[in-house]
Amino acid sequence: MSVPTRWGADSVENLDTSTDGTTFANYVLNTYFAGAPHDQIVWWGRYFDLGTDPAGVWDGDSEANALSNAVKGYANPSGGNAWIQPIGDPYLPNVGQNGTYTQGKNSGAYVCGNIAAHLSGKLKLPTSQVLYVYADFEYLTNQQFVDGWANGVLTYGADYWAACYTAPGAASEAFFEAAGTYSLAWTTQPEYVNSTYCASPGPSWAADAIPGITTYVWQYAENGPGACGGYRSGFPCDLDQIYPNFAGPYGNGMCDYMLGIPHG
Amino acid sequence: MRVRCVGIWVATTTAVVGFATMGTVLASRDGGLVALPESARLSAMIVREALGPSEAAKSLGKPRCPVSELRFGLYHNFGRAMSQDGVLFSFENLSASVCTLEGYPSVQVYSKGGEAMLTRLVHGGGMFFSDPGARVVVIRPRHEGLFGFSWPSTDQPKVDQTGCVKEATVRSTLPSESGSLKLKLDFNSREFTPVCKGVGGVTAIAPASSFPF
Repeated sequence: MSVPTRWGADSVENLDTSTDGTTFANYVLNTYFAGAPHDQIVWWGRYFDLGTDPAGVWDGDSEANALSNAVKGYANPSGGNAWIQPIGDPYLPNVGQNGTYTQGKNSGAYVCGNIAAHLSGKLKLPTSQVLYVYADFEYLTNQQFVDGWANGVLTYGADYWAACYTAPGAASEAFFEAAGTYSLAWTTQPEYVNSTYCASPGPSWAADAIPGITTYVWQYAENGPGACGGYRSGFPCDLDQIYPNFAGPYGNGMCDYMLGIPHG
Repeated sequence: MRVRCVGIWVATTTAVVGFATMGTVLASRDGGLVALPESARLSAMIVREALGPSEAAKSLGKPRCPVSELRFGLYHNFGRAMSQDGVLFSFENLSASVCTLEGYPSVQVYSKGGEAMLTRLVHGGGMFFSDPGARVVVIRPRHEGLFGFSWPSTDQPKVDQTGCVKEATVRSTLPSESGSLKLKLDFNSREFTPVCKGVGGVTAIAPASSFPF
């Protein structure tokens, strides 16, 4: 069984931020990405640890409500369900992301603890009992810190699994591969020089793969400075998609491994 | 306010006028360096935030801030997420008079060899901020107008193979003004990663309250 790709977005911006008279989530889904196929967005990458900009972390059910109301507002393949893909981007005093194993482990545990603290009737652990938490390490880091972060996630609870946001050739890539404890990768192609690339009605799945780590999430376009599909340039979110042709245990592909915002 | 350890050189087109590092701004209009403690910047922020709409209205008709009376600086570094960097830059009014700024500054990043890194500059937000939109911003003496700037960056070690550079200078031109201000950032530091060719984003100039962090 296969499913079509599920479009997503990610942002540092809170989903309930007032934007042109509506929520940020609703504006992105129903105005900024109003055109097909991007109006099929049903999931969103959000930070539960963002050391350089703590104001950008998940702030509670009002964000879940904003996404839910936006997703329910149009016909989409999820039937109105929405999901949140949690991300951890630690930045510690004095060391940034270049800390010790223990500091990495504490950071992994911290992001999981913040996720757990925000679980509610509006934001639920996946029924699959597998939640992937993505590490976003874009500063100088090292093997011990990367190893520690994954261990902090994996030992936090049975539902929590470590995954990574990286790109082929990125400084962090080799550390994630060597760790052997990151189950999935979220890659960035086609970014860098070709950051304005956009295909319509949408690309075939063409994510750059990370050797040894299953690559099932793709940052399709960076929309902070370079719009792709949105009519208004310079907008604070990216466009993402998940691997098509993977049904997932409940028919929602990789969304079955994200935090769920149930329809209703 | 968080301003992490950032080494920057601030210069007009004719002279170096400032240097900032861990919580301290060293600034001088004539090239000499003096210490301006972080507490002073915080106080300045508080005073600026007290500027209400009525006072702003009374100041309409005030002259535009001339480039020669402004200091271009790094106000806040949001850091890096999803392959983008975002900062707030400031234009500080060094004169003794109230003046105004309005609109979108032009920004370009030049490599050490003089190559322009931004292939396009779009008006709007970056990953870390929304665009407050153009409006007249009243700048009292020793206070600042801010704007957001984002750019594509990389953490790839072989930067020379990816169209990215470690040494670059940011140059900004005010809307409807001639003359530019420049700022050298260390794009190979713990705070900033190499800047890549691509599309940059810039917001309109606005008060600090428009950019919560």
